[in-house]
Amino acid sequence: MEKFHNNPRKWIMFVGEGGKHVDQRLVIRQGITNIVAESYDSSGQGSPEPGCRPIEFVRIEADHDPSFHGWSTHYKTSDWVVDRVEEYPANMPGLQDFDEIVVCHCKYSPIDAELQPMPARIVSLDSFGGDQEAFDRWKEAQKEPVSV
Amino acid sequence: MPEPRYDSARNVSRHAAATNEDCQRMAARYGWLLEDVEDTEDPVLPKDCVFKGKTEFPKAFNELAETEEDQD
Repeated sequence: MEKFHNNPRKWIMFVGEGGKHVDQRLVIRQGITNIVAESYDSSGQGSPEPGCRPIEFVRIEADHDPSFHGWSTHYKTSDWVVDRVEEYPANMPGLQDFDEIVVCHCKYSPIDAELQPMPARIVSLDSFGGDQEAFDRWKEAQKEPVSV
Repeated sequence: MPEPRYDSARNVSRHAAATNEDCQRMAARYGWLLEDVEDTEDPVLPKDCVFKGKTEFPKAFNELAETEEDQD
């Protein structure tokens, strides 16, 4: 895969600590996890630091438009704040899927964060995994009038 | 207290994708930070890749990107 940078690839997990706040929020496939957020970071920026907060995605049903939105309608600064950070570098740099795994242990500290509306989605050649024909078909389909 | 270097709450951008793996590839290819992948009701591009910040393609690729708002 062609890359336009030489940044390391990090898997960053924000792990909630603190009992009931975790259990109330997090269920995956009927199991319970304490991962409150996660990101895949190829930006080359430093790892999260104590005091920072991940993003939280919110769905307001009254605002949800299936033709525009995915699951979330808004996003905001999370109620979880990073308390301590652990970094696990790859033992075979350059030969593994991730150059580093970062675990951010978080405390629950709710704030009155402003809700930001989710932006419009961008469609590009990369949306189709580089399939130019599929992208061209999609562009043509957008030009077709809707019959009523 | 100085502002933390990492603050993922500034803004986000969304890119349509066919698969979760396409989202991962975009992040790895362009040096972006992938915050979230969500399902949509779009049968052709059923995934939303949510990236930190205002993501921009390298200059040669800019003309290939179109937002859904441009189609209105």
